[in-house]
Amino acid sequence: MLNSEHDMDWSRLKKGDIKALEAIYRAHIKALVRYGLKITDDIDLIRDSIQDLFLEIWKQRHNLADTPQPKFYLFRALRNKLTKVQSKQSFVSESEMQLVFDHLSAEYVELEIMNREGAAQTANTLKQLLENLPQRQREAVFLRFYQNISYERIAEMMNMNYQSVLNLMQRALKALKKDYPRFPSKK
Amino acid sequence: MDSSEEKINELLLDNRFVDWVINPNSPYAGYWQEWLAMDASHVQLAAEARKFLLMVQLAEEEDTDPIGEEGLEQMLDHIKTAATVKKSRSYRMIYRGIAAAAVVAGLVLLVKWLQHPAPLTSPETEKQMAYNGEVIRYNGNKEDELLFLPDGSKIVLSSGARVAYNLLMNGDKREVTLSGEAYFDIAKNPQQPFYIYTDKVVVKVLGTSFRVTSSGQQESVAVASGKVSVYLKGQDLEQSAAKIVLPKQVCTYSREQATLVTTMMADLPVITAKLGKSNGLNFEDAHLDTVIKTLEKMYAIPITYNADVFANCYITVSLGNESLEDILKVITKTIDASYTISNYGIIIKGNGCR
Repeated sequence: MLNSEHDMDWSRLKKGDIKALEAIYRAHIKALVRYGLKITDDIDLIRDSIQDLFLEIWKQRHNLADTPQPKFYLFRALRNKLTKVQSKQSFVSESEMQLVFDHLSAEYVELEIMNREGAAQTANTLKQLLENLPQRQREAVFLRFYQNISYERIAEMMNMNYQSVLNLMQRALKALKKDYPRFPSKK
Repeated sequence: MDSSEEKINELLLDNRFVDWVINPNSPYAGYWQEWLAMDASHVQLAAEARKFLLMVQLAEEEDTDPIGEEGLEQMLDHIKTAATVKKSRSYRMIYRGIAAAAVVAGLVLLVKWLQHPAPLTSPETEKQMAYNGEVIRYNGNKEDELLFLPDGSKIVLSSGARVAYNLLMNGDKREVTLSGEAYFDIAKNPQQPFYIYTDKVVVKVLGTSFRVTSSGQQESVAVASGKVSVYLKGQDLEQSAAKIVLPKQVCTYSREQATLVTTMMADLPVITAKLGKSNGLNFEDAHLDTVIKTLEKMYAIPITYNADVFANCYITVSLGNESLEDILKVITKTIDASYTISNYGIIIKGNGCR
C-alpha cells in the first residue's frame, strides 16, 4: 500500500519535524477537501477546519498514537469538526436532520430522473446523481468507491453500525442505477 | 430489481471486490481470479460492477476543486506560520500568565477580607477574574467624536453616547456595547464577526457601515453599505429570528410590540467629514514619541516603552486604516523592536535607533 511513506512522516511528525507536517498535508489535502465537500458546502468552514486540524495535530504531536493510515485519522478528525459545527448550527440532532434530508432528497432524485428521461447519459449524469444523493449516502460512496476505505472503517467513522452502512450504500446504489440503466443489467 | 443487478450490488458491497478494482496491489486478486473462473456468468457480473465503480471514480475525479492550488498553498503557509513563528503570540501568553498571577494575589486578600471560603480556582476562572481589559469610551463633548478600534474599525460617537469593548478585541467575536447613537465603519473580517449590543437588540455584522441608535426611547439600525443582521437580545436562535437589514433600510425596535420593524429610509447622512479625517493621520519622519502618544489616544490603550532608548527614532507611518496590531508591526519593524500586547496595554522593547 502507498501508506508506508506517510507512516514514516507520521513518526517524524511526532518527533517535532515540521517538514513531516507539510508532507502529510500535501499527501492528504486534496482528499480532505473532497471529503469535506461531501459533508458540507461551506468551503470556508472546510478551510478553517482543516487548518485547525493540522494545527491541533502539530500541538498534540507528542500525544499522537501511531497509525498505519494517517488518512483515516485525518478524515475522521475532519468529519468530527464539520459535523460538530453543523449540529451546533442546526439545533437538531444529526440523525434527525438526516432522516428528514434522506427523505427529501430521495424525492428530489426521483423528480430529477423523470425530467431527464431520454437525456444523454454520460459520466456527467452520474456526477449529477452523486451530487443529488443524501449527504450521508454521498459520503459513504465517496469513502468506499473513491478512497477505498472498508465498510467496517466507514461505519467507525460515521458512527454507524456495519449493517447500517451497507443499507445506506444499498440505497445509494439503487438511486444511482435507477437513472443509469446502461449499467449494469441489460433490460 | 432483477437478480443480476442484485448480484452486482452484492459485489459492490464487498470490500474485497472494491479493493481488487481500485487497488493494483490488492491481496484479493487471487481470490477474484478464481471466482471468475468458477462460472461464465461471473465474468459478466464482475465486468459490469467494475465498470460502474470506475465510472463513479471518474465522476468523483471530475469534482471541481473550489480552493485551488494557490489556496491550498496559502492554507499550508498559514498552518506553518501558526505552528512555528508563534514568537509574539507565545510572548503574549506568558505575559498574560504573569498578569493573571498578579491579580490572583490581590484576590486572595479580598477573599480573606470578605471572610469567604476561598474557592479552588482553576486557571480558567483565574483568567476570568483577571482584569478583563474593558475599555469604556464616552463622548462628553457637544460634537461627534471619531474613535478607532483595535481591529481597524471606526466609530463616530455622537454626543453623550458611550461604547465599551475589550481592549484587544481578540476573541472569536468582536463585541461592542453601545448606548446612544453611533456610526460604525467596520473592518471586514468574516472570521471574527462584529456584534453590537444595545439595550434591546443585537446587531451582527461582517464588515460594513451603518448607524445604530440606542437612546432610551428609540433603538434603530440604519445601513449605509453592506448588510447586517439584527435580532432581539436574549434570543438564542439568532439565525431564524434575525432581520437582515440592507442599505437604505432602517430597522427599528418597537417597544409596544417588542419586535423589530424594517422600513425604507430616504438617505443615511453618511458622516464622511469625521471619517474623512481618519485618512489624514500620516506621519512623516515623526518622532516615535509623537506617534506613540497619538496611538495611545486613538485607541485608548496605554503604551509603555523606554523613551530614552528610543530617543533617536523617527518614523514614517499612516495610522487609522489598519488594525492596531498591523500598525504595531509596521512600527516595530521600522525601529527594529518587538512588542507585546495584553489586557494591560502594549509594551515596546528594543535597542533604540542610531
